Amino acid sequence: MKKTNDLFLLELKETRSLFNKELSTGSFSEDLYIKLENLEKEEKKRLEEALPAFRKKRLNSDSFKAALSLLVKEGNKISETDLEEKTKQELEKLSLSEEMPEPEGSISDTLSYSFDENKLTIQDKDKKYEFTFEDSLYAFYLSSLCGYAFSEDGKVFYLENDGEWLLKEKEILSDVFLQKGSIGVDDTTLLFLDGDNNYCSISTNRISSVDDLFQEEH
Amino acid sequence: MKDIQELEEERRKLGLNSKPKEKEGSSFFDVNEQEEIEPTISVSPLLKAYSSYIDGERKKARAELKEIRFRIAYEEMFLFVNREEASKKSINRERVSDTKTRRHTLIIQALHKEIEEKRKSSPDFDYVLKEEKLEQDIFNERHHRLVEVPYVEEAKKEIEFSLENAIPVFLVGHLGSGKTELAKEAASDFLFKRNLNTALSSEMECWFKKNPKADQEKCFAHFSRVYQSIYDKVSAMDTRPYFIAGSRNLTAEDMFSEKTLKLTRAVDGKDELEELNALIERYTKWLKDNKERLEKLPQDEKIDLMTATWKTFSSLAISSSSAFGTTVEKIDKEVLKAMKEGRPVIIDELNTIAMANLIALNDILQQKPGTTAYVTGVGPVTIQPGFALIGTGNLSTGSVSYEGTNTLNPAFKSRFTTIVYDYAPQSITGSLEEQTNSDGNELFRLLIDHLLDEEGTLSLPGGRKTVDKIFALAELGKASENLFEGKAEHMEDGEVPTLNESVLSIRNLFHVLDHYNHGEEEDLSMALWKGFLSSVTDPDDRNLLLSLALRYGFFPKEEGWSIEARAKGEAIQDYEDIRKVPFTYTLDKVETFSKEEVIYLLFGEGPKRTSLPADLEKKIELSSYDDKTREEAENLEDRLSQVEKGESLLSSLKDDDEKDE
Repeated sequence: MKKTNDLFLLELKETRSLFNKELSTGSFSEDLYIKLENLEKEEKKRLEEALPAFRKKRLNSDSFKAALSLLVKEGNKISETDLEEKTKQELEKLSLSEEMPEPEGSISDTLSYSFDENKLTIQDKDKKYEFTFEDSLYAFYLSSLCGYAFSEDGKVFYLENDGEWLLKEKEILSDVFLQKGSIGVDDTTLLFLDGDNNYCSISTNRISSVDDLFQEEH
Repeated sequence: MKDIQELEEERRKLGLNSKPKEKEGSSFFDVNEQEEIEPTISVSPLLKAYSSYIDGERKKARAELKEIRFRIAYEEMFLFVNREEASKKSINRERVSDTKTRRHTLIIQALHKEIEEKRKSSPDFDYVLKEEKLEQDIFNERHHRLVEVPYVEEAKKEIEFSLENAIPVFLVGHLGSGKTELAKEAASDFLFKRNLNTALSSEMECWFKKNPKADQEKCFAHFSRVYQSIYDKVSAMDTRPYFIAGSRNLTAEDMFSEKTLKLTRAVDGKDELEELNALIERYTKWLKDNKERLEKLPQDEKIDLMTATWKTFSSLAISSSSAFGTTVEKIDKEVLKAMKEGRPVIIDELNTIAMANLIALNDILQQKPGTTAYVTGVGPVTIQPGFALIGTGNLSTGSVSYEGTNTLNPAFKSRFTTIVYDYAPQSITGSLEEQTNSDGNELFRLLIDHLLDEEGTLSLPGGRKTVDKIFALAELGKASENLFEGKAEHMEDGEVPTLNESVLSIRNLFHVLDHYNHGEEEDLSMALWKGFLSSVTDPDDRNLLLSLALRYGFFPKEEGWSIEARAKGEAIQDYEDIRKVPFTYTLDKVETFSKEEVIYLLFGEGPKRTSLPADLEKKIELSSYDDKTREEAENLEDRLSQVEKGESLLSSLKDDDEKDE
């Protein structure tokens, strides 16, 4: 790994100096284009492979952000809002759904969860992850990418699949109480009905692509 | 390929740095205003990038400067406290220095040196310092304060140094040099600094009691946080010094304590409620003493007697309290008030006061704050810290003497630090372009400041031509001051010309500029006549000043003026003599100098920029290509730098892994 990395770096430096040299002449060679293209391809591959590592690195950093938004206020009709059609459909589905999730459930054949008091277990393929919270949990929502755990004192905890399941140390939100919810719209957005009958959403700025990564670092 | 200098010139021409003018509100009086539409000039992406780079660098420099200024203020607070402590410990209350004060002084010096070093090496730091000066000038000008050109700054420093050491100051200079104003401001600044440092140190002391474990960095962070709000609070406090206008008739009583006779009521000063209570008490005592007698009387007689007695008591009280007497009342006057309250006092035109009366000040002049001085007609008075005395006086020389001034008794004068404050420095030869030392033309800076608007821009008809004319006006002013002071550098036929009673001092120069009125109604020659020369009544003075003005390019023949060189003793030249044809004036096209242009005009150019960041250098290189090549190069550059960015992201990840391991 180290050797290929050094080689890549060397090629990058060479390409840069080739470009600088050609810049002063005002015409650019085919060689430069080929070199650059190869570098781009290789780097994209490497960055994609490293995405889980970037997510892991960012999970407990300051740049990780969670957003809570109010979508439909109590008394307003979902159909009359100017939300996106997809969101509206998901909310309608949510309004008809069960009250609360069961303390155990499965997302796919290989991914399932269970929670009891302040203990949460995620079973992913052959691996079992156990998390302990200070306070008891009363709800948990999971997708293949992330999970949201609600504690009885109103805290919301976030878990992320970064090659392995990780829990963000600090809660992402507090003073949030919900009646029911579901993960919808996309794999990381949780839609829920709060104690005051408002429809809300929680989402995070999870890095999902190489583009996100560049934008993040900008 | 473009170089940095070309880019810099383009940027300044565009005035990218000056903020766009805010649109006026829609008022009836704006209806007639036709907005002058500036031709829109397309700004190249390169120029934009260069300008935004400059803006960024200046922002950084501003933050750096602010940090150093905070450090200086922090050290000055320590110095203030340490000096106070050292002075209390010293046997005679003279300020002493000790290891602590020396240490803080050295730090302050080093910080000032740091600013100077940065100014010399960075064009941005240099600009930011100059910008700060201009903004301070505008603030002072707007608040009718002296503009702090180096000459004023130095004099203020000297006065404040004396006051801090509790040494009285005698400020002397010729008329129109602004002594009195300087004395007032220096005294006010002295008190302000005292108040500020007292407030800051007590805030820090309070905070430290609550945070005893805080280290130096934390203390400084707290200081930086609270500084501005404390500064604002102290700024709102009254720091004006007491002021006495000196005259031949001023006596010791006028300075210390005035005795007056006053008619007063006997009960004067007593509380009315107290009076009433005493009356009721006396009446109750009477009731008690005569209880048996009253009880024996029939009910209606009893009530009659009680009513009659109350009436007697109350009329006795009325008559006793309406008696009048004469008392001697002492009213504290400015010097005594200043001593008691710990404030500076200014005695203007000190050398017009009779020596016999000034002697009364002797003991006060010798004592330090915290000790007791004997005040004539009052007795011993403790001088409070903050007290300071500044006297001003006109300077009589061989050539000029001011009516009513005395020579001060040497023994009396020796108790003061004498500071001579004359006219601001200004070159008297060569045009503005020919000046090599921009710092030396302080009079010119004062004149330009007087014409600026709030944003620091300068709009003048005739543009640069008029700026040159204003420079000539400053030279003329200085030349006249030299003649007035007897420093004649202008020899004519072996004769040394001198001015007897008139001088084109800064005050008079401002009159001229106010007449000039930004060229609305008259040109500078006419303004010079109306705003100054027409009121010079001494024939020799006016004739001399007119020929001096002619030499500096005013009243030119081709514009219809005819000034004659007249020898001493010849008749005065009136308007009819110097203007034979009617005066007509057409306003030149108005040109506006941006704030940045004004800054370089007043303070000169700073160090040259010698390098730019690599990406900007590349942009400069690219700018020399045709559109197609440039687009191709920019595209390649973007792609390449994207790969480099990705690479640095990956290596940062690798670094973290290594750290974890």
